Amino acid sequence: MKKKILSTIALILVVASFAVCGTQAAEKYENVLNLSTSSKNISTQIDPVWVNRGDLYKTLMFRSLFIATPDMRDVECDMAESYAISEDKLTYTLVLKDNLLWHDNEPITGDDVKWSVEAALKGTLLNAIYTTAFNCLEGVDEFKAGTAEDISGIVVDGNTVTFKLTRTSSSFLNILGQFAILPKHCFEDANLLELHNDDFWQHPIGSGMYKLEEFNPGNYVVYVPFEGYEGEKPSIEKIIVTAVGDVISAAQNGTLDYIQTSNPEQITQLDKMPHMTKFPVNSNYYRYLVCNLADEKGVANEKIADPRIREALLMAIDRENILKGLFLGLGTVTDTGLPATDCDYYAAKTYSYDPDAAAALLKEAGFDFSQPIKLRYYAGDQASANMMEAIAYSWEAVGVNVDVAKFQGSSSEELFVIRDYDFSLKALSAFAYEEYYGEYLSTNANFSKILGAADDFDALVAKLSATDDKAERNALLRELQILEQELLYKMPIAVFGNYIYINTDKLDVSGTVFGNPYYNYQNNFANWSVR
Amino acid sequence: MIPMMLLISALVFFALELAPVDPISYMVSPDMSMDSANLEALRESLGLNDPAYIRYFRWLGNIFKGDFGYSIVDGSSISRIIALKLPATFELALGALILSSVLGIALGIVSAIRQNGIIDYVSRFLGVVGVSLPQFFVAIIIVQLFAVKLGWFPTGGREVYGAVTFWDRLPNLVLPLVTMILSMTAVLVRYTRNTMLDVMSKDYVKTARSTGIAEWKVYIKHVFRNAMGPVLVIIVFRLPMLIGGSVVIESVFAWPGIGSVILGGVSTGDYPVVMMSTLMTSAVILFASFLVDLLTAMLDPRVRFE
Repeated sequence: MKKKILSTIALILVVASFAVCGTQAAEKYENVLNLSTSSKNISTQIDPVWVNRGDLYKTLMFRSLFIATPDMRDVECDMAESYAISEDKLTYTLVLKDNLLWHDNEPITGDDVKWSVEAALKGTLLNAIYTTAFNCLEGVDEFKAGTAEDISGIVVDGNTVTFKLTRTSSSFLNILGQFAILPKHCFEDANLLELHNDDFWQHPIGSGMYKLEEFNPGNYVVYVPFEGYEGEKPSIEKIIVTAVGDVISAAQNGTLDYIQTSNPEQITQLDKMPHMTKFPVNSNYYRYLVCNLADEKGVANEKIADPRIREALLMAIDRENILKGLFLGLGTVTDTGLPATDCDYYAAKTYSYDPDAAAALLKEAGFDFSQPIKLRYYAGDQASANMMEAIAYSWEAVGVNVDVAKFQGSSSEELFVIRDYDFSLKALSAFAYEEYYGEYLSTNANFSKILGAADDFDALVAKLSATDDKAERNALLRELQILEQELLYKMPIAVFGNYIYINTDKLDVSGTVFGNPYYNYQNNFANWSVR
Repeated sequence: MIPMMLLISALVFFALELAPVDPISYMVSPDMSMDSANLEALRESLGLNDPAYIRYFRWLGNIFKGDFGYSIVDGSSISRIIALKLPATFELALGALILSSVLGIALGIVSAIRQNGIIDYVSRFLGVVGVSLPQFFVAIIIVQLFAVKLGWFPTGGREVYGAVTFWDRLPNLVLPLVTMILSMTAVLVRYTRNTMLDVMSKDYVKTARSTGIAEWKVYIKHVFRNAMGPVLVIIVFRLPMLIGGSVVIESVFAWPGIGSVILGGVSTGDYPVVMMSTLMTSAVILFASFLVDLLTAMLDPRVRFE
């Protein structure tokens, strides 16, 4: 009996000592913002900035010449002190702020700006929004072809940087508001093709209000305020980004202060936590079924070649109920690539749920019901998988034989190289409508492989990219939406929002207007404080 | 051993070639309209346009020169990846291996000696639970209870900021360790108990008892020693886990070990990483086989004689 009592006491002591160890670690630091990432993102290096610009810690460490307003429609100066645009909108002259410093206290110069643009174009991993904008620069073709050593359309004179374009670009300034400038002196011997894998990303030197203090690969990254930052000093003393297996568990036990999500399962759980306050943001996260219509030589996929077949299949899907049942009503059904809530939205046709009309239209179009439709997806979350099952069920209800499955390999390879599907779920959080319609261009390296490199959209998209005149843009967007519905290369499902959850028991973020978390925008972080 | 490892490496390399995975495609998301000329240049510079057999022998030649190469997807040197990930895997797996072996053997012995007693019932119950419940399920329950509800331990990760010593890191180790130990111990308890009972019913044990020697001496000298052979085989064949890690545990607990690196390498076509980790794991498996032979010979004089 005595032995049993002693063993029980010993066990309690061991468990209690572990518990004390655990709580001590959590309570050690106070004026700290705790963020999370996956272990993979910080496995051996920190995620580079030219593909995904978002993530709070990245936007606080790396700066751009401008910074977007929360609604993403305008920009404010960030590294730039001032700017001027010529009347023909082909020349942008920017003056950098004086005494800007990198985190290693080296001065930031116009040469860093020029080098960054050139290095981005020589690299392999670059977000499409930058490629589109920088391809407008004078001399870019010669530079890419290797016949010129630099881009003649970027001229540096002291703190003044001039960008000369060959054609107008409505979003050039906004793109500069996203493009992170990197320190040229840190990449002297770098292989530009593999810039994203350079050792720099193990100990990156940035220019933002926070600098890297410690990087523990696979475990955490710590950022502290940069003393050389010329702007308003932030009050939060440390930002700790920790590799977390399950963000919900971390939020539940109070070790995570900020989460962005559009995942219904996570939203349901986070809504139950009184300390996490929800801030809805418009991220225009558009989900659609992309059609595998024809290869780049124009050889058509006869099974779904007739647009009436695609229209019928769209009408066979009960999108409203799918959104209600599987996505907690988070998305808004749309019949074009624009959100139905946008003032430029124009749907000449509405694809309301009507299975009888869908079945009739399929027959009218001569659809071969004996052939299975291959429906694929690459998203890993359960809600997406359920949605695809629901779509398959809807199609089977009108007599279509459906083979639904998740892609096994990498999404790009499956979508654009292997191409063994008829429809695939795809998503895009477009920075601007030009980017959304850019997927239709005959010059698009990926989509031309499944849309037959047709040039139906080329002229209109080029015009849209070139103009910032509101009335002209409205007219062009209207034309594009009509064309989009006529050809139906993509079958729209819905546009989803995003939510930012903040532990407001701990953090005071009053006065902050939240924007699209996938991009760099003014969130007044310097005013955030720990209560 | 070396020819066997070469054969394994060749099999894995060419099997990987059959998989429809291209590391370059993996790097490029469907939303990026990258410059295809730059991508082609990258493919060329990484040697991916060369025939498979040339890449295999180039990789093999470099290994003999001590150059483990670079991850195609990540860009880090493989020796750096191993140096970063192996200690984490080793720490978790070694802890689980030692503790589960001690616990499993001890509980198995007591269960056999006190057959149908309370400890036997409890051990058998835990044995069934540990074997039947999948690791990911146990992990989720443990996280919810001890990390979320009670807040005693962190939800995941190996190190937290400010942790300097092993004792600082201990709270992070506890939950993944307990999850691993549960299933590993369960197997050993059942195996030890059954082999002990089997040996206890042998004639030579009855003979030993009839000579009047103390009961504990019967258990130690005659039962335990003879029952340990098959149990040791299980333990030794768990050694590769020290190198290969556990993908499930590493995923649930965000444990930065080598298991997730291997999984990532296979799914992204990062053949230098897969090849190196396979080679390491094969070496440990071959070593374990050798160790099993050695230990069996030590425990069983008949084998030694043969």
